[in-house]
Amino acid sequence: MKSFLKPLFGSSITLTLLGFGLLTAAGVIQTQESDIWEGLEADLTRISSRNDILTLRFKIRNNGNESRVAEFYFKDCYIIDPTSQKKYFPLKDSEGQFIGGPKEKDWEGGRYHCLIEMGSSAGFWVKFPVPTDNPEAIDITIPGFFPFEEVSLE
Amino acid sequence: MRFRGMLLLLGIIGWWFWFWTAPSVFALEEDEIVIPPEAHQKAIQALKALGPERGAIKFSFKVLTIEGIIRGITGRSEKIQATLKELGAKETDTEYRIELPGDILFDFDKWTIREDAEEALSKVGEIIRASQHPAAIIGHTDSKGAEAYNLELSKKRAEAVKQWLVSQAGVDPSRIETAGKGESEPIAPNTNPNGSDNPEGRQKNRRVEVRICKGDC
Repeated sequence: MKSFLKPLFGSSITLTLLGFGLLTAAGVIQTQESDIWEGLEADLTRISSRNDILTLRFKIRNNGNESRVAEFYFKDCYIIDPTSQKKYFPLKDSEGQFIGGPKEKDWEGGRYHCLIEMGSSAGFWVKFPVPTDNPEAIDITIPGFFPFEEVSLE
Repeated sequence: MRFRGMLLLLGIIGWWFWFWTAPSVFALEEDEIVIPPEAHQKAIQALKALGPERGAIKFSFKVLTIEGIIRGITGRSEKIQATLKELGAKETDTEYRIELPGDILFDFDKWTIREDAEEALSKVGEIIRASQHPAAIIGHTDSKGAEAYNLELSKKRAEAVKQWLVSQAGVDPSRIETAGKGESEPIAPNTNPNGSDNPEGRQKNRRVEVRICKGDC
């Protein structure tokens, strides 16, 4: 191969690998429709676990033909370990606020409220304890959406 | 030779990705919310405070199964019922009636929504949105002041509640009608039997009534 082509080849391959990496990172773990708000869907986009804390990230998409408000209290979110039959609520800070966001109001430990225009999306995140029995999969409940079931923690 | 061909193909895919696909992927990434760096530290503290069980609540599997089956049907109505109860709503055969005290909603002689009233109004918004049926907002005053002035004030207050519900709670404006009744429909006497002022009675009369139909009423 001609010497001036080598760096070009090298960088091209690196870019390809980076591209595949990015596409994977932007993936969706599971999607659930709303049982209240027509046209809204929630994607569970990422789960990370550190220091026995699960961080869940979601994206709510409006696929409908009009703007919709998505709204819930963090106190009503929970995860379930179906094997040990235990339920866990989001972690709460010393001021009584659930550790999640963004929050529109502090009411009752925090309220998520977002007007999502047609074709747009909005994200939120919430932290839970890792279930004590370290299950392989959990169920996740977010008010306004059908439950995310058998979400792998592997 | 074949190896070089594959490398060339990989390179072409790489450049194609960065020119055509990467912008949309980056847009997806930008759309993600940012978690404040202190959140994890707070979570660690919260986890410690929970103890070894991490706040786990044990439940019966049978209950879970039933919950799972009926959640879509009753979960929503249970939440709405709880909110109605919190607001002290009264139920008739055709509608729910919620009375919001005027002194919480507005300052004296004003029709701008007070910040303290937002939590209650937000819950009213939740109910109206979930009900999918028409609603009416009716303003009332006490008997102090001129009748015509009170009528106008009650209309403005009803309209202010509607505007708040539309702009802040995402309620469809076409589903809400407003009216002002002034001092014409008291729910308590404005004066005592001896003719003296009855401040408690007048306070009850200063209110905004929200009526949410159970069907197309």
